[in-house]
Amino acid sequence: MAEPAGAIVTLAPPDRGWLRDALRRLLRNRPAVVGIVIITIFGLMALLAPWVDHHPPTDQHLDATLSGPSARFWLGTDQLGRDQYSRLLHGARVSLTIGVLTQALALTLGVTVGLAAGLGGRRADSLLMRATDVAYSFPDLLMMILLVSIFGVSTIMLILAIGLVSWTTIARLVRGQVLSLQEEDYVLAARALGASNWRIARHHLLPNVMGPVIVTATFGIPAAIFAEAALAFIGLGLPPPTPTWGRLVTDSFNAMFAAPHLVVTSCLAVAITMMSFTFIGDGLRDAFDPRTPPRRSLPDTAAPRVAAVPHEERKAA
Amino acid sequence: MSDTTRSWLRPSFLILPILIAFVAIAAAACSSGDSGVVTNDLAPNQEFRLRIAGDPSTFDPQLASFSEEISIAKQIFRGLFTYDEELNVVPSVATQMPTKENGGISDDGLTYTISLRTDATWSDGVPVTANDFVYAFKRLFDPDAGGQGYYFDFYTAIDGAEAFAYEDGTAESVAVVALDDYTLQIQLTHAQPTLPTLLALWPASPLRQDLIEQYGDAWTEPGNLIGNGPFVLTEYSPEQQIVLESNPLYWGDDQPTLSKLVYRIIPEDSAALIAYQNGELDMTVIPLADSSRFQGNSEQIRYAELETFALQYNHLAPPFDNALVRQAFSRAIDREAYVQAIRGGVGEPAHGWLPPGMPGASPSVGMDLNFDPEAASILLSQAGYTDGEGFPNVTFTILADPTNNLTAEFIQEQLKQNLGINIDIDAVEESTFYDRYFEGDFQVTWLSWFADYADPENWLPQQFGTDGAFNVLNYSNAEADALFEQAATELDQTKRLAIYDRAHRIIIADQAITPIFHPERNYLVKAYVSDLITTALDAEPGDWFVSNVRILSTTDAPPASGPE
Amino acid sequence: MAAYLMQRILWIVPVLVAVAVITFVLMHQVPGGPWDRSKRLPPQALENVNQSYGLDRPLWQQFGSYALGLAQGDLGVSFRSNNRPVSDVLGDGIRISATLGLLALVLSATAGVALGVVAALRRNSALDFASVAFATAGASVPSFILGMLLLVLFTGYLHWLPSGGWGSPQQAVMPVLALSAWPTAYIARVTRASVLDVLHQDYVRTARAKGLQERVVVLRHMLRNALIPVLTVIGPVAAMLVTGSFIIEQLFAIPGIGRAFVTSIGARDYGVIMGTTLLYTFVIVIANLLVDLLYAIIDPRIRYQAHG
Repeated sequence: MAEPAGAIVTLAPPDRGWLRDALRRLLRNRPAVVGIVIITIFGLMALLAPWVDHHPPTDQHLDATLSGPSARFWLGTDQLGRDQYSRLLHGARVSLTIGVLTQALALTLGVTVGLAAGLGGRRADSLLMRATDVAYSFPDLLMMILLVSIFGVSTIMLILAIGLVSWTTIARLVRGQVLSLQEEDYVLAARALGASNWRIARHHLLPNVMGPVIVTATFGIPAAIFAEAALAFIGLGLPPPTPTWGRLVTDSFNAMFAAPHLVVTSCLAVAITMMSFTFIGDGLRDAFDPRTPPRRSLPDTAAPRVAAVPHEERKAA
Repeated sequence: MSDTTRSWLRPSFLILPILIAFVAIAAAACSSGDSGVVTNDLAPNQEFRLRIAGDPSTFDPQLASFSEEISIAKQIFRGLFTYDEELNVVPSVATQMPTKENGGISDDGLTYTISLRTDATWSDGVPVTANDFVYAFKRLFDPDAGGQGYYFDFYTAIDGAEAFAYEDGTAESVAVVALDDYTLQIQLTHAQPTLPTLLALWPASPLRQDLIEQYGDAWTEPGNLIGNGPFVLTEYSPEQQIVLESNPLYWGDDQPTLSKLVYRIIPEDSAALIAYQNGELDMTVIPLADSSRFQGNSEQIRYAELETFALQYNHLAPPFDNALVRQAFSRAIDREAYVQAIRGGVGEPAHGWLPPGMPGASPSVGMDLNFDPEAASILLSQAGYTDGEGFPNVTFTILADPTNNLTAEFIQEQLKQNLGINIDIDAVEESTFYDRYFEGDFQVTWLSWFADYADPENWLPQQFGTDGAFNVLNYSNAEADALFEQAATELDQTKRLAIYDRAHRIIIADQAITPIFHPERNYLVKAYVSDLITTALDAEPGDWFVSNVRILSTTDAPPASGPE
Repeated sequence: MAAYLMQRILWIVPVLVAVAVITFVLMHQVPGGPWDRSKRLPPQALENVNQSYGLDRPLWQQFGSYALGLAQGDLGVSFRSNNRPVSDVLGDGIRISATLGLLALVLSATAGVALGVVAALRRNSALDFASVAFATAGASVPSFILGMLLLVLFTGYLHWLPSGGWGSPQQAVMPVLALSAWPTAYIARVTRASVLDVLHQDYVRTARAKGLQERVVVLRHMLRNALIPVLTVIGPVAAMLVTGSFIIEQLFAIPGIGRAFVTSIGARDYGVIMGTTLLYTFVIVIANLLVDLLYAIIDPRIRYQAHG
């Protein structure tokens, strides 16, 4: 890709090299590597669930209800004698999908709105940020419950509902970064050379903004998994017999004394996943920005503000 | 400057399982053992501490509709009649049961003349007179008062009631009059054999016109609320607790021994169980998942109630407009396995709709459509869907809660195994569910019916009569309708019940609904709670006879009392 | 600064209006009404009761009269709770939830910062591992499981604490602990990262090089700077804690606002839904404003300007 002028190349951040650096730093971070390994394993197991499960997840064994772990059922069974190990595997499919797609949606929405606000001039900025303010102030749980109640519960609706309450942080973050980066020399230079908004956004702003955004989204994944569990707790989970982690955890709560193995296994699955994503998020933050603590960001950019607060925890749990 | 904290993972992974394992052991260890040896003497503190799951929406007996509201209203008010321990209707404020022989019921069955006790008083000492009943009955149909409740419809046989409730009638047109201070006369438009039973229920309580007019909406607040029952409302802390104290001026024969009834509002069953184990409650429900743990426990009480869970079909659309399909469903579901797996063995498999203990119920009804997979698939072939081939898409709509989810999954699997058909499950939250149910917006659903009073009238004509008040299934059967009409005015109880039995058999043979099981109450009650009399019609266990309850002293120190 | 503050405060009003309109419209789109319960209200009764609460009128009229009432401080009544005024429901609820929330905030801020600082200063020691382990575990256990564990342990087994309810200090112990677990973990994590970062800044090295006492270095030079990011996370954490937790309040039978809020949505108790939503929005907006102000006070480099 031909750069318009040599001078600018030296001023612009080294795109790919920067990414490679970040990756190298991430891989040197032990907890993050552990997190990545665990999530990869979980992801693969979820992906291959129909092949690596032990029994089909909805098969009922009424002769072995609420039985503890055994050779026949590695992690025991639930009230209907269904294999807990298989249900966790298949639950991971739903929960990880919700976690990842939710954040993908939030990321897309947030980056778009943030860029548009940051680059679109004063009026667009003011309009978009006011809308973001309203969305940000709206109680998340209410929004999720209302959307899911009106349109019915489905995986897509859950993703939309959770995604729609997650994008505001990212939008504020992107906009703040864009506003401050616009004053940087290399952006000013590119603009002086007549680069379009789109070009500036793509080549100069996005690479710089994506670091903190990806960190935020990574922290958002476990939050989304928690949000699904919270909705399941109040009766707005996916319809049976789909196993989701939210359902497995809430059901295990009801059978806590009768079948502690259900609580232990489902909570561990959720806990390990959440921890892994936290490790990865921490690692990414260090990797993208080795010297800079969150402190540098101005309040409006609010990098760590709500980033890691699970939505369900913020106002519900 | 990367974080190099290496073994982050190890200790934290251990914490959770260790904690849970420890607590599970602790939980198993913490049941009972805290109440000491019970003596035969009365405890000095006659306080009975109960748990309710939610805040009562109202203390107005004419609006009380859900178990906690009903249970409290029953303690504060007494109507003309009440029940004895066998659920026979007996006089309360009335001096005797009206009959044709004693002139209480006119020969045509339309006029009831009821004389009242002269010693009955309100909790402020004012005598209870016939005028208090007259006022209450007029208010019951008032669109601004009782006409907003669930129960006034029970009493619309009273002349003028329908006009007042539904049309342009006025309070004056309601034909309930006081012949003198202690004689009440009720005029009906048609004979209704169940009237005395209905008059024993909470919506037929007398009310104080002067106080309701004086306080307006605030008349049900503690201090303002004056009833004529054995207990008086003394404290209401919303979402926390309700305290009733015994009414020192109570006039009835069932003077309470208890001095205080405390209702703690605890939403979660499992938290209530722990409160019970900690000595904060004297009675609590055993959570479903814990049934087996408390089976045979010395503090367990378990008894049948008048309730039936069933698959309910929408009869307007295929495939459930076809009786063969419904019969196939009935024969495809293993009720015994259901009760064992999901209800922890607590409850009885159901084949008929009228629960055991209900007058007119017969155990043989529906047995010929019991679980039999082979017969089920034959029925399904006869319906034109051999091995489930070509069976339309069916959605099973349920109210989302953990037990219903499991139930739906169980039934889904039974139908798959035994009939080869796949149904979808749609689990929706409460208000949406009932909105859809009452609108008939479902194909098949799962719901129970609980008796308001022990008579098939409440179960058959109201549910399955073409014009029945609760016929949301759009069921219509001319033969059954004819029987319902016949039973409605039959004053001879034996003949009435025989008619209902015939109708019941028709409806079950047709599988208008598919009964699955009759639940049971499964509670823990402290050993020092004596003379708790339960009936199949309790809203909360023992609530018809709370006056009988006595708290015995224990040799050890009495259990730690709950928070103030 | 004053102009900026003024602008931010004025901005609260349109946010509240927008949230009110959105909530009002959406909540009436949700199927089912306040009387769709397990018993069917006779059709005539439904008509009567809807009429008496004005629910039979067109939506815009209902909103109009709600707005009119709101302007006069009348939030309507709760359908589900003996016609209690919504203002009472909110008042009682927020008082209880905020008390619990503030206690939890104090606990989690103190414990979180302490854990984080110790972990950072004694990096890779057993203490560090222990505090990080606690922090990760605390952040990963769903609150209803944690609450249940506390209940079984302290009430069911040890008989030390009452199972729930509200009124005595003992009753607040478990809910506060359960509420604090997640924020403590979160604050500890942020503090640790932040202290680690500050540890190697030039001014800390300089201070050490000057031979200042370690205590002075830690307190005056390090903590002051390290705590800024912590403060920014305390804002939303405070907003979350003060507005109550449905699950904790449900489990411990506490009549707080978190429970009222979720219950009211399920019950279609429209007045309570609107009231709690507006209150929550207000708390969130104020919390963010306070954080921004605190930020400016602590870090004098930050200046705010009113923008057009």
